[in-house]
Amino acid sequence: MNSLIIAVFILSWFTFAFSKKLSYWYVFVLELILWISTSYLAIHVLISGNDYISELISNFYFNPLTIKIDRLTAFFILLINFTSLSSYIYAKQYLQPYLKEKSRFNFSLHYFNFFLLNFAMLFVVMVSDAIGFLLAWELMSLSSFFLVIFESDKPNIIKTGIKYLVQMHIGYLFLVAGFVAVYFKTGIFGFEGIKHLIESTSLNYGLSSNFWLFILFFIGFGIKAGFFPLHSWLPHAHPAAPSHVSGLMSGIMIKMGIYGIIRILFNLPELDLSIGLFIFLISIFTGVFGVMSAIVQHDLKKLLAFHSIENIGIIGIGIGLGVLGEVYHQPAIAVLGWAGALLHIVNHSLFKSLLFYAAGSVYLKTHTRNLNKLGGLIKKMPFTAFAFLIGAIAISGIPPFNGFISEFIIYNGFFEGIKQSGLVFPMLMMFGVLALALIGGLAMFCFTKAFGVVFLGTARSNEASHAKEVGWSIKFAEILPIFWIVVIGLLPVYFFNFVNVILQNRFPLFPFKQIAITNSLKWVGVLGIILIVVIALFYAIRKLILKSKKVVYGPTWGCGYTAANASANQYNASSFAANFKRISNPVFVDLSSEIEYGDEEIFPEKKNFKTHVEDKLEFKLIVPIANTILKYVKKIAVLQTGKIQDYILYPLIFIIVMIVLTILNII
Amino acid sequence: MISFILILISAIFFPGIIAITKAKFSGRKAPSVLQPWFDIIRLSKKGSVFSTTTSIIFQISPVLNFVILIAVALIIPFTNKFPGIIHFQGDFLIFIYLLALGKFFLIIGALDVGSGFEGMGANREALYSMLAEPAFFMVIATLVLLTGNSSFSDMFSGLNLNLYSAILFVLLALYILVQFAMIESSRLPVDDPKTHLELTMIHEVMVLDNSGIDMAMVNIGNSLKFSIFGAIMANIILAIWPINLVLSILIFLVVELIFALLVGFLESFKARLKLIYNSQFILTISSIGVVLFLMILLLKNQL
Repeated sequence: MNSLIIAVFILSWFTFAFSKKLSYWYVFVLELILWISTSYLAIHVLISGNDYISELISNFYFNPLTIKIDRLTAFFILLINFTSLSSYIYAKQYLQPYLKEKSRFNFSLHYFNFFLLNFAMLFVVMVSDAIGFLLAWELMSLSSFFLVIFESDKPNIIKTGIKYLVQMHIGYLFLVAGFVAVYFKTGIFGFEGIKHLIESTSLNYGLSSNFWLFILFFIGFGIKAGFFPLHSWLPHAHPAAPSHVSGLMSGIMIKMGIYGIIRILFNLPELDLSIGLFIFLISIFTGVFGVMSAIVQHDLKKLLAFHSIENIGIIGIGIGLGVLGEVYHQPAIAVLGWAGALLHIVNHSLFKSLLFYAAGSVYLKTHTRNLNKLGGLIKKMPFTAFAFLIGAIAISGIPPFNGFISEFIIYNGFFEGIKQSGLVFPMLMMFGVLALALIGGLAMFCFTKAFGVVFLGTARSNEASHAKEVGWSIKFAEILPIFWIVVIGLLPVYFFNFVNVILQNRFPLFPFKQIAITNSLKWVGVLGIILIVVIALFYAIRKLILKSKKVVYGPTWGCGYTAANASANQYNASSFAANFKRISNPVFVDLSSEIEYGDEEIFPEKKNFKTHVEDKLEFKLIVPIANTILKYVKKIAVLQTGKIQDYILYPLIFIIVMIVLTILNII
Repeated sequence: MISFILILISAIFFPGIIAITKAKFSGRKAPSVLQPWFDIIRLSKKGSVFSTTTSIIFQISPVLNFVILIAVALIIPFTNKFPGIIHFQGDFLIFIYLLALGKFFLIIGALDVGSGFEGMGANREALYSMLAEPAFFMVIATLVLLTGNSSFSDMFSGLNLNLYSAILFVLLALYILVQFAMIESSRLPVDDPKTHLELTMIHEVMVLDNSGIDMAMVNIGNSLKFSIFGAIMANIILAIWPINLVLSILIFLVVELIFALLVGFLESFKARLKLIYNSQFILTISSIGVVLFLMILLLKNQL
């Protein structure tokens, strides 16, 4: 198996030798081998329960490179492979319009990096040694950077890509710092070292040293995951990337950050309250912030990107609940928190990739992501509309689909917590309930807007009115996640048991068979099935009744204004969000302009106005700081004269200064 | 089973009682208590008009909403002795989220028409119901806190409170529930069902283009919604002061009756809020919910 993995890696470099179309199939074959071999290992580990440890390269940077697959890793391997599979199938048709304008190298580079990203993500979860892990992590950032800038000839794409790359490397520095800190304490450079951290009683600023170590890792991993306030790359990179890449990045790549955080938490010898509170509160903030920002967007993919932030928040809330449950010695609650978080990772990877694919199909056929230029697509693209609707219901956490299941589990954890005695713990749980309820409601608000404006009503532009349905390969790529969304929604017990298998090592004494919620989940599933059947039945009856009645079709009543453009009278994305914008000003900066009429303007001329909002954190905090730094950096740029003599002079001055300082015994 | 039948019975008389109360207060001759149902029968006999803009979403949303309201009625128990037909740990979550599913489809059904009016109503309904959701969660959380049970079937039992805290709890919880029900059903002070101007409507404008049997289903759904919330209120009162079965049924029906009278009364004497203030008003209800929870938490720790 090991030689197979190394072989596909080497073979992948030959992608550049193939033509535009062949390179797709070449990488597809390599990917297949990679998917099958790693998934086989993962399933084997999940079934047998024994970790798979194997030396991949005996001398890799003076150390052996070992891959280690435990249940958590196996879980992530399956997710990575599945999301890559649907994404790669989707890519075929999505990239077709670019066949003419892009060179062969562009295509090969894209497919090659797709393979690399998949490969790197697998290694991120499989390698626990720090050097190997950091290399894989870096490879993941680099390959995804190249995937993002596929349309590099368009304005701002490169800039966005660089922004992404820079932020990833800031995170990288924190990770390195974290691993080095662990190395100095334990002598082991890697995740294993965290297990041997001796419980230190020393407190820094009132908090344990483990907390500060965790913060280091959290910043490093959190930038990848997109926790508030580290999220600012996400809403830029996702819209810039081609849709299958957005689906892959949002579906699973940002989860690598979550993986890192879970791995750290699982390895820490003891969790303390401060860590739990930190994750819990920052996740609540992330969730609410993400969904609030999403509502006011009118770029479809940017909207989805903000929802990724929201869902990272929900996952974080689950993790926070898990940690708090452990800290308060309530394993029953902790299991629900962890299980909810893990299941939400699965769920989010499914519905978010589906939503990005559907949004990509819309973009492919209408060439716009602006919600205010879309509309009425359900008649032109019924399958895409259906796919988006399923994704929208699932992401809003509404039954009978999968999003509800994970939120249901987390909610149950909170309500179990409310039952406990004490003052602080139930209060925290109440905040969790409030946050989840608010996030769920806001997500519903946002997706009624997104679905309604894009797919319903009348087309708002020429492109939208002439859209056509996508081909079979995209449909197939969308059916893959839809299948699991429905199955998890209707048969939740099996998936709850599946994530519990991962937690068994963590809670060896916990009676997983006797969780009360298993019975509830059975009911939820049965209820979902019955509901679908009954609704279909009632719908059929209604159809029969309507057959015997007089049914009239006509245009929508427009207050008698027959000449006016019907589409202009509709609510659009901006007006739908307007009343929400009024109550949620703290989150963003409103850059909308208003129309003003002059006093003597008897016959109004044609006017323009814009509705636009910016992330307040980015606009008021990051951009000014970055600009200030840039200002000073530019001043230093006088050194860059472009003359070779000057460049020789600088080291000379440096050497002389060094010699002088040494003579003077200063250094 | 008892609760389901009682909810259906209450739902039959609920809209009629509201109409009678309003007629009496405004000095009109009252209609028959079954008049709303005659309207519904008349509607279901009529044909339908559909906009050519609409798609399957518009056609399925009234059916879906109707089925869901029946489904959630099955979850409501009758005191702690007669659980709902569907009951399990955390059943109130599926209760809330099924209502959300129904609303999701009503909203996108309204957007399907492609009219500015429907969009307006859909948008308002989406915002207000989303803001109101935490309030209901807080009442439930308080019940969970008090009883240590997280299923509707056991939630209305064992509220061992002394008289004063019981009165305090019942008053606040009922206040929140009444307001929540009013917001959910789009009644005063957030929305006024008898308004004539589309620009100020919320729920009514959402279903403006529904006709015939679809409209009938929407109307049945509205009365069902009221009696479901009335049932929860009745359960809270019966949980604090448990009595025998016959009297319980009587109390249940009386609570529903009072609730209907109250809705009629409020609608006769209250003016609708300015739309701008609605969000503040609803958020206030939610924060009262938080206060209720914290208060009971403190009381519980003191005992």
